[in-house]
Amino acid sequence: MEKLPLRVLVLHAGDDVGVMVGDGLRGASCEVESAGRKTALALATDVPFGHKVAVRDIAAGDAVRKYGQKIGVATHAIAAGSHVHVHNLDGLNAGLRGTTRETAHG
Amino acid sequence: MVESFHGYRRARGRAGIRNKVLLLPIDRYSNQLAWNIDQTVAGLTRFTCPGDMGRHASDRERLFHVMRGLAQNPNVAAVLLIGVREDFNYPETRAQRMLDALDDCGKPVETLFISHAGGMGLAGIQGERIARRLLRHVGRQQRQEVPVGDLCIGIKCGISDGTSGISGNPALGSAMDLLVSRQGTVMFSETTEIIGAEQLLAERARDASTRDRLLEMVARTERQACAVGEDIRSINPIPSNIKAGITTLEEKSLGAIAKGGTTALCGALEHAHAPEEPGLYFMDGWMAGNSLPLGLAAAGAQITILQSGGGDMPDDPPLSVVNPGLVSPNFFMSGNPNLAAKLEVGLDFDSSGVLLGTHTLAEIGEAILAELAAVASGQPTWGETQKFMETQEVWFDGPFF
Repeated sequence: MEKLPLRVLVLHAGDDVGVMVGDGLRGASCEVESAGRKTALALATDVPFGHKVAVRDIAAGDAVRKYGQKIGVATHAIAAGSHVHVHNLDGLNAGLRGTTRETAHG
Repeated sequence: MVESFHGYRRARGRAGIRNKVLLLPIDRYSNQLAWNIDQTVAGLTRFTCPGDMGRHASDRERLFHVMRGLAQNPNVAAVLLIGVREDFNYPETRAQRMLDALDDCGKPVETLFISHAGGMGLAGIQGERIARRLLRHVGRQQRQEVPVGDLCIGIKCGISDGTSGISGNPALGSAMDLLVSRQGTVMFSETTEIIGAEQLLAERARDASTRDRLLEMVARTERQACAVGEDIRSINPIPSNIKAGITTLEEKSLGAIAKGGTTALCGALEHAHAPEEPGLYFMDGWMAGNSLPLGLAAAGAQITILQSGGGDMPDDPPLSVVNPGLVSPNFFMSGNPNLAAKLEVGLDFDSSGVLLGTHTLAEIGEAILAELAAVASGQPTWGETQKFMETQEVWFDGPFF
């Protein structure tokens, strides 16, 4: 199969993460596509195909946005260009046991 | 632009895209008789009944709706109902109730009771004769041109990954928007897969009762998980999703709800209940690929779709995960170029062009609808070219007694 160009798709302007199209290796340069604009980003970690990469620095405890919505909260500080996954991102209602809950919207 | 397909017009409701004779055992004892008939008669479709014994009333009621819905599905041209005797089951699934419900369905419904036939052996001989006669009868019907709006599509996503929310579900959603704009009907389900995104769906509800029912379905699912001491978020996302890049339930749900498109939500249906008017519907249901297509077919879908990410699928992915909805063909599609490259056969539609930037969502949407119309007009899906059919589970809440 033809090798895919190393692109990062940001699905909604203002999102904190984009989706890696292709297998990203640490140090590689990617093209970040957001709302029709393209910018360069160097990968700080490996990021597998289809996984998320931070397109800006994210502080621990900050909400993380994708699709223009909150998908979770950063459990550690995440530097731009880093893999965002279960090691540094938790759901909005982690550990919930039927108490009050927050939703992605708002 | 797709405006029509060639289907079998029915006396009631939508046109069929297949012309099946359904063997419908309504108790577990009758499964063997149905199997016996299926071994000697060619071209039948056979349900396997999980039985009603030891189940509580609302699960028995659900079983009734699944069986009735399969019989009423437009793809079914005739039904052979098989039972021990008329009054063998609990009231909810009793034969006479089923026959009353199918009384005005506009298709032949024959009955075969083991007790009246004089035991299994004689019932088998009688059943073969009835089934062969029904096959000859329905074989006289011919396809005619019908509006594409006669289609009712039931959709499910599976093995979601990072592509699902970009080139998978939104591509399918684009096609479903087109279908709804042409007076078609679309149903999606998987209550656990809207959690975290339910407010966005609720805002699209056509009326307050739809909104309230949708939110109650979500609350009920969360309560059920809590009742067994689990956070729903430890059940979903599944390990395969996480390996392929999905981190949280909210993220998975936001990608998943795109599969139904962007139109107003016309109703929140109980499992296996049919929508009454065209439009987009949510149907309560669980996330299992070996069960949900059956529920969607019972709600009237002539085609069920599995929109798969597939990032964590093995090479040459097994089609056992591509379950037909028994009476309704299953259409397997993906927006993941890596999965598409692995599958020499088996993928009914590749929407990865959206991810690769070679196609717009609008272009892909029209192409998906054209392919669905081809399937509706008779082209077998890849799944239909296989004999293997995993037994579909009816969705029960339990507990069991």
